[in-house]
Amino acid sequence: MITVNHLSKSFRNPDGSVIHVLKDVNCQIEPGEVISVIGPSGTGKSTFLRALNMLEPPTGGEILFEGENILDKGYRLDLMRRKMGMVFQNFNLFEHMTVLDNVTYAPCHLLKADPDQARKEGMELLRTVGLMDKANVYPSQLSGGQKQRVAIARALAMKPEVILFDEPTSALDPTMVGEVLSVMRQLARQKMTMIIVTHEMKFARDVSTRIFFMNEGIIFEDGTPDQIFNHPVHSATRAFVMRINKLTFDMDGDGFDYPGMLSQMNQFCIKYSIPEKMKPVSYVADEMAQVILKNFRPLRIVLSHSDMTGETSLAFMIKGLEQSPFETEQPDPIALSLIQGMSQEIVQEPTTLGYRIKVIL
Amino acid sequence: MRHLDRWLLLLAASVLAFSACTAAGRHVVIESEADFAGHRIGTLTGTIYEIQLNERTDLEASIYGSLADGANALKNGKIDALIADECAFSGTELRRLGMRKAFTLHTAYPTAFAFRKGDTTLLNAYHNFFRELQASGEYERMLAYWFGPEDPDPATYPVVQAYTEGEPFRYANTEIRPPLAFFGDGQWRGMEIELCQRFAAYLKRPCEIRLFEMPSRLLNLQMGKADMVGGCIFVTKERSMQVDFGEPYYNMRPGCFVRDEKGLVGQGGLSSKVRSAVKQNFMVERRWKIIFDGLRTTLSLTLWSILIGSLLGVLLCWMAMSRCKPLQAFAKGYDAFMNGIPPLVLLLVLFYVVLARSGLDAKAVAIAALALNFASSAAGVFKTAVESVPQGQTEASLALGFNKFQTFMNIVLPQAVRNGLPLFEAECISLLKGTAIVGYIAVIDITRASDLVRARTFDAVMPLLTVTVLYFVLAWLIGLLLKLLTAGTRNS
Repeated sequence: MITVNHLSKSFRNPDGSVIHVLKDVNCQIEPGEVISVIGPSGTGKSTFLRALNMLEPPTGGEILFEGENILDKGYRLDLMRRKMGMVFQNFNLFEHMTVLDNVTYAPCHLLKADPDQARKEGMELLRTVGLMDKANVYPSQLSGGQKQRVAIARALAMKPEVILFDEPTSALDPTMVGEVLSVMRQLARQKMTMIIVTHEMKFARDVSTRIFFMNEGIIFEDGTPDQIFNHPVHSATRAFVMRINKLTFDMDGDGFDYPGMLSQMNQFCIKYSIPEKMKPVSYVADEMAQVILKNFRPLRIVLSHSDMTGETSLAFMIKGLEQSPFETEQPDPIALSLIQGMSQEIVQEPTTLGYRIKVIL
Repeated sequence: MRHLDRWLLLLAASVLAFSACTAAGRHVVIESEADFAGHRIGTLTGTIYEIQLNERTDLEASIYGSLADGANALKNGKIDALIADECAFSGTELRRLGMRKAFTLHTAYPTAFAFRKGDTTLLNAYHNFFRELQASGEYERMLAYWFGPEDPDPATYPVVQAYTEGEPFRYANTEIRPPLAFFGDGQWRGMEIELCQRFAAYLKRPCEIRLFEMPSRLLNLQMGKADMVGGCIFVTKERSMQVDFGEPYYNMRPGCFVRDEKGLVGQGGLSSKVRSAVKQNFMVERRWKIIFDGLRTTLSLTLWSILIGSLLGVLLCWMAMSRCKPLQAFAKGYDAFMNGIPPLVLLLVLFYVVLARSGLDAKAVAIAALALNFASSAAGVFKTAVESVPQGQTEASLALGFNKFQTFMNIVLPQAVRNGLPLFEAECISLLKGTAIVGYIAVIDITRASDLVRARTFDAVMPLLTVTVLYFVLAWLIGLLLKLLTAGTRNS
């Protein structure tokens, strides 16, 4: 249904420098597919979606919709857009119209629908999104979640062949995300073709037939939810889907701010909601750096945590060392038993940078 | 509304009472020119007395723009004596104002009409006309009629044959000075006016009389805005360099007027004073009609300027928001230009320079000036209003399949109107208030109309108070009109 070839988009900054948001995007979308577009912020997910209906005209490449290149001069964009609905992050309901008018306005004016019939269908759509009782109020009287459900009904009223969702839950209060996602789940079950830019990983995993992982202006990895989430090919994909957060310190010489490091580690644990790890993280970092590995410098310490698996680990890398430090120096037995008591597993391995001891907490 | 008139009455009464209080005070005796020393002496701008007073260092000279202002200053004790033409006030007026003529100065000044330099045909025609008038004895009869009795009876105002066909004979008058020229019974009356009308009839041309500011009156001849200028112009050497004078029709002597509370008529309670002020200012000689006509002029100037200015504003707003750089630059430049010059200067430049020879009448020029000025502020309001509608509204409409025009008309515009209305209303009211400047180019709006009444009654309070209330009501009406026009775009 939609084929994208070598799509690119660049912006010119006021200072004259050029930013390439989309570099070379290629994909093929078939009817009935539910595609989630995920990836770190600033990698062109929204730009890609907005390019599909030309709200953001691309600078290069082609987009074929039903066999025609929509970038061609003279192509009737307005006719194409009637078949390609869109739901925005900020809802963008027409503030000067009632909820029902928002839904029926486009079918009445563009499809020349009979007003009574349109009103009936509009009420039916409002019923499916659960807002029949709000038909005659103005958008300013609705909550964010309700507004977004009206926006979905408005897009559906044009009976589109595909709907684009541009971060539909990002502007919502966490308590309202569920109601919008449930309406979208319902649409997916009805085999509506959908392209969704989202940060809701669980939703993307459950509902999508295919996932585009976007990074650095291209579709970095494209696959089923199982491939992307469980067997990612690229490490960038893995880091993203596992949602691994890292904190790195390099202990090179005497000037190192040791208490500062411990304090930053504590803040990290609070930030990622693992306060119970605060104590083991400081104990292990302390015993390893100050006792067991006190004669090994330079030393790199990496604290990491995955939102997805919940795994927290501390890795100690002795730069330039090829074999285990314990071959030349026996570890302090008391410190070692303390660390073993607090960890699930200790993995030792040589890497290209140096010898690594990873303590999984 | 039932209580409103009571409040107004109370307000008027308190202002009257206040001015009466300030009038009392110093008692000075001025019975000859020698007594001027050390006192505050007033006269009118653009007169020969102004030059003479300014030459004397032993007194404090105050110069006023109109006879009414001078009379009020004398009445309120701001000056001790007023020098004006001996015939400036009639006997009844002097008594009503609490003034008397202390003495008449010795020098007499020949007073005549001015013609464009070198316009000998018209000047010769005037000579012939004036000689015939003197020979027939009509001139003597006119002098007796206008300068004889204290107040000519409106019932006996002379009727001059008027032509309606042909090129109009344009007469520019300046200050209102009975018995030379004044508004009586809703019409121009007076010695000068009758002479002018008779001359126009002699020429078999329709007579067109306009009221101009004193300082620019001779300018109107040079700019071709008038064929003949009057208004008690003294023949002087300096003026003879600029214009040609006709035969002097009167030898004017200056009079010195002072306060005279003893002779003040109209004593009595506050309410009877207010009643007599209302009668004097509105009822006598149907003076309400001048105000009413002024009101119509102000209203039509305002509405036409809003309409034309808004259309131009739409155009400018479109230019400012277009992607075409030259159009943007034009809109920006226009805005900067209009912001940079006072509306009054724009009006005068259009009237005397840009459109001087266009043949447009003064009212059309006034509308042009006001509309050009309004266009810039309207464009600003429109731009702000359109930009106040979030970009998301446009995107949502485009994404549904509406084209750009449909999107603008159906989605952006209704919301822009709703958001911009309060600003637009403020601009309209500001325009309404700005129309008060059109008096400078001889259009009689309500401000000017109140001047005309003031010049006749020498009462500042009642006409100005009326005008104040009228402006207030007009502003309220404009707001109401806008709300009705845009009722469809608002919701709860």
